[in-house]
Amino acid sequence: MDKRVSDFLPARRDLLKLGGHGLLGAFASQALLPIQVRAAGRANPRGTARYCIVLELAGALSHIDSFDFKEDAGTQKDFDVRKIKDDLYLPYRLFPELSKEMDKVTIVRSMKSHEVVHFRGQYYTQAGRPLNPAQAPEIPSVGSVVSYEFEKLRREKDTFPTYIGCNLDTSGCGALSTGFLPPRFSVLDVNLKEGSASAPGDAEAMAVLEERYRILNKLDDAMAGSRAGRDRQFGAFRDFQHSAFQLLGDSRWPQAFKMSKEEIARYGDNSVGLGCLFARNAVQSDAGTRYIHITHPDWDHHRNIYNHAVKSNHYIRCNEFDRAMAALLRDLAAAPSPRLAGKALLDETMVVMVTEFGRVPGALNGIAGRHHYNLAYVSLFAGGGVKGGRIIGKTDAKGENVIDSGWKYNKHQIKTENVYASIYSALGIDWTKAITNTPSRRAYRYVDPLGATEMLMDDEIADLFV
Amino acid sequence: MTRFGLVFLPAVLLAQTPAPKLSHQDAEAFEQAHKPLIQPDQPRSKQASSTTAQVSPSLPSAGIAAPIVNRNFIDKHIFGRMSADKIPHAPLAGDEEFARRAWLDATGRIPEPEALAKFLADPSAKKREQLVDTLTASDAFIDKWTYYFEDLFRAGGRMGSGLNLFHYWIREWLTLDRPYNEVVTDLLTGAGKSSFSVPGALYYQRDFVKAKDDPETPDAHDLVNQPDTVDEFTVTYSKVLLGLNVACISCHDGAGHLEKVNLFLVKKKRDEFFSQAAFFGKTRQIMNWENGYQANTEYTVDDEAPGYDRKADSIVRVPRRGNGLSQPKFLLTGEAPREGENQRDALARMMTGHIQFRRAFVNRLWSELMGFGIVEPIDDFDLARYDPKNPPPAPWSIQPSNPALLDAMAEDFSANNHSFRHVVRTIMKSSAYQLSSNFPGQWQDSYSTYYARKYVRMLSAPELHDAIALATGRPGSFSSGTEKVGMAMQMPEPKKAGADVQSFMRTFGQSNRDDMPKKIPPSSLQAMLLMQSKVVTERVNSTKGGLLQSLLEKSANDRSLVEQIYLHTVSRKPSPPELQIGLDALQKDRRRGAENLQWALLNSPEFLFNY
Repeated sequence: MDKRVSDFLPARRDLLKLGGHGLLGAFASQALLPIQVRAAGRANPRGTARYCIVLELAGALSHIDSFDFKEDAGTQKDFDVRKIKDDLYLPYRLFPELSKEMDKVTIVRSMKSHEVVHFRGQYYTQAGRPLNPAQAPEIPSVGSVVSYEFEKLRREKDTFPTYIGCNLDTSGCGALSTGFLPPRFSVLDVNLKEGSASAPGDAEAMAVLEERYRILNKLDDAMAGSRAGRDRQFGAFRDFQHSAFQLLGDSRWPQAFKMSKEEIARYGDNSVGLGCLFARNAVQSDAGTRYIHITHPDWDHHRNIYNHAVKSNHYIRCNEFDRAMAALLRDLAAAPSPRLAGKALLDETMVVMVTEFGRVPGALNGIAGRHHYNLAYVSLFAGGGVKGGRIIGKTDAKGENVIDSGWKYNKHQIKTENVYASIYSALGIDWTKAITNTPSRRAYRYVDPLGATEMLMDDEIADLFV
Repeated sequence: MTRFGLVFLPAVLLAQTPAPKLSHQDAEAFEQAHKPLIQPDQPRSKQASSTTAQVSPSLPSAGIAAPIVNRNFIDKHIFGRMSADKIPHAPLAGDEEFARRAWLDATGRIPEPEALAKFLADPSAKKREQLVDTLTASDAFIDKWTYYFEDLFRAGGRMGSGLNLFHYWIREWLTLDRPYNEVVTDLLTGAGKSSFSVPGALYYQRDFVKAKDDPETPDAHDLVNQPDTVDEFTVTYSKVLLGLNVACISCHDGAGHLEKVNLFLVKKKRDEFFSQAAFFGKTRQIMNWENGYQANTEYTVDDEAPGYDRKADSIVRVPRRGNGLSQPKFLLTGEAPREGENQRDALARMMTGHIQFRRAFVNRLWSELMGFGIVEPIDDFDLARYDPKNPPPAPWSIQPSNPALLDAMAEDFSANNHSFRHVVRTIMKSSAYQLSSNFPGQWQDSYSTYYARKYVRMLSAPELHDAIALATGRPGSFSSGTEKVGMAMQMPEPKKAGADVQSFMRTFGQSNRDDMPKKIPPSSLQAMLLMQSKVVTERVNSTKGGLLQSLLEKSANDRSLVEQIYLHTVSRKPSPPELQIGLDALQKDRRRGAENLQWALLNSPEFLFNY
């Protein structure tokens, strides 16, 4: 299959090697302009992770009903709360699988957000910085920045995009663009539940596709002949078709979508389950993808949070997430790393759960749910250099206020910016860099210490790693 | 999931972290290493220019060597400026190029082959004007521009069932060609007991931010206050209706912030923004409750609130300052409502009477039909850089590329009773619109703002869907109210389409109409969808009805089959080498060959672009 595809590829392999996938944006390529990158050089990125998978629970996870469990007026009798170890209690009914894997997972309980609104909160978790409408059009998503940073590491045989999203379009803000970065760093968002067209067909479908592509190429050449006397630039448009076709023709791509019944049962036949399964496949195939953002929507339980009779409740969402993340951790832990002797893929893959804020602790509201709560919430980390089994940060008895931030900056709670500083660090990227010649001429700092409402410590969460 | 509409929180930069000491060599090394990779965003004129230059060689039509005739005042300005500055321009587009372009721009559809053939065969010198008149009088014109205004006014979302009313209201005023100033007056002044019965009330009601889900305190805005909602809406309508971006001054004075951004706004104060917002200060949107449940999308809209309170907390902005209620004053003139005049009526009167309203609208239409605006960005005019007789200090330059043209168009708009259809027709009948996208000789970027060639643009998401549906003779099936419609552009809201179509349209840039339009993240998904999406592959399947099945059964011979496929898909006849490729494809397997040929055409640049 790969040999035949190469018949169609133009000589400009170098362009394709760059994993250029953007269709329209190539046209915005101008003569390459110099850029200024200022490295503050204060950081020592650890470089312990080759891959990063971010699981976004969109809608806001209730922290006191999950990884910062508190017994209170809202606690349900069927939670089956169990002690995992010293300070860790989990409702077993909600997290039967993860309860068994907590030795791999470190919990941060001292998160804080300034946001209380979904759209803005989800923007924050995808862009790693607060929404600033003056700058928003030029701000890239974190994944695009990673894609830019890792461009120089792409190999000839890498066909998969560096940055893949799963169901990003179900997030409140959708898939963010590449901002001021060139379009080739954009995310390829696959929607596994809908069976998106990025999923390749079977061998017969591929044969049909090849035959059609052959005709397309012939027609393109025929058109070239009629352009007498005019400078014919090799249409950048066609380059993108070629690279898309190359991807479709790479046998590893359909492999990444192959999911057996057993695997689907283990991960769960839902957006987060299939997303994690795809992420595992992408990591295992090592075909160019290094950063994956999976969105698990529908957590916004303002009403009927524990009502078993409704279509979306805390039980259902927790079970879906629990199964998916546990299966992902287990499979990555069981797969040996092809690069590091005696290590597993999980040792090279940082898995992070983010959510936009928490939910109000204490008694339920007037419609049997919990509203938004930004002063304390949770994040999970595993793999890629993270030392599991710990808890960073502590809230008060009710889960309303953080009484111990758990890291070296006592007076500062942990923010989304710090989560991304940690991810950059694990991936070996100096997060104190800034790119200075942006369109607005404001420096784009990878991690910006100027938070929305207060200064923040633009540092990684070192306690995750040591 | 609750949608809260768009709320802004500009980051307030109070202090800069000091830049740490960095060695000279480190900085240079990083710069060198990253030099080839970063490309800052280009202005739209450069993008359009560059896209066209790269796509154009893949497009079929060459220009015709007829002399350019000044057909209306637009041509005097466009060609006058080019001739004064000695800028070369493209020749006129050939009939095929012009026809497809005109069809797409006016009706959002590719040409119907029989009507196209008639046009091409017509020897009359006036046939292009007549085509423009016919197309802009068609039902499809109403479809396309209804969709355009639905995108512009963000129809859907919290309008709920009111969307159907809004949809038909737009269709109605487009059909009647109601004066646009009256339409905007309706939009700004709608009020009534139920948003389900007053279309104008829906524009503001749509921006309502949901309060607590609590029947005891239905008006409680614990997450976003009413003044915050008003602020948001003020920013929105200023962009959409006046082409002004007042987001910045909604949080702080222009001075000390906007010196490098906007010379007009740098002189404005946040108080002036409050005064502008105050026009809607008394307007309430009250959610209706029924039987203990929110009738989630039906609202009462009235003007009974006390006013815009400068002491009201802000959840999402820098805290307001000042005391008491702000009095409404129009930002551009300082004018206040007359004695006894309803505030919103005053706003509509002042706004629609101001030249900036007309300029902004015609600039928008120009951008839509000609590739980019005379002023760019189209929602960010800098009024201190508009007048060439009062130029801004160096290093600033005048913002509009052709202020005389823009003013002439604004004047013409007003003189023709604010007729939207008149503006579209005038632009499309000009020779400037009819230039070819092919440019002989060496194109320079500096030619771009002269409109020295026609710029290509990729088909919009619904256009692309509909073009595929039309080319294959397989319309879709979407709900519009109680009816079923076949074209995506006839849908009141893209969210009513099935998952495949929605995902296809999203990938090709369909906005969700909740947030302001954002940059489409281009991705290989676009190329993949065109290759593999059911939207395409199901339709080229010739066993399920549609064009191919009919052609396969009825074509006299293979040559005619190939020609018909070309005419229906790319609106032209195949060249001899193309014909041969088509015939070869049919030889192997007639049915499969026809499918493959049409697929290839649907994936070629000339199908995807409006040129």
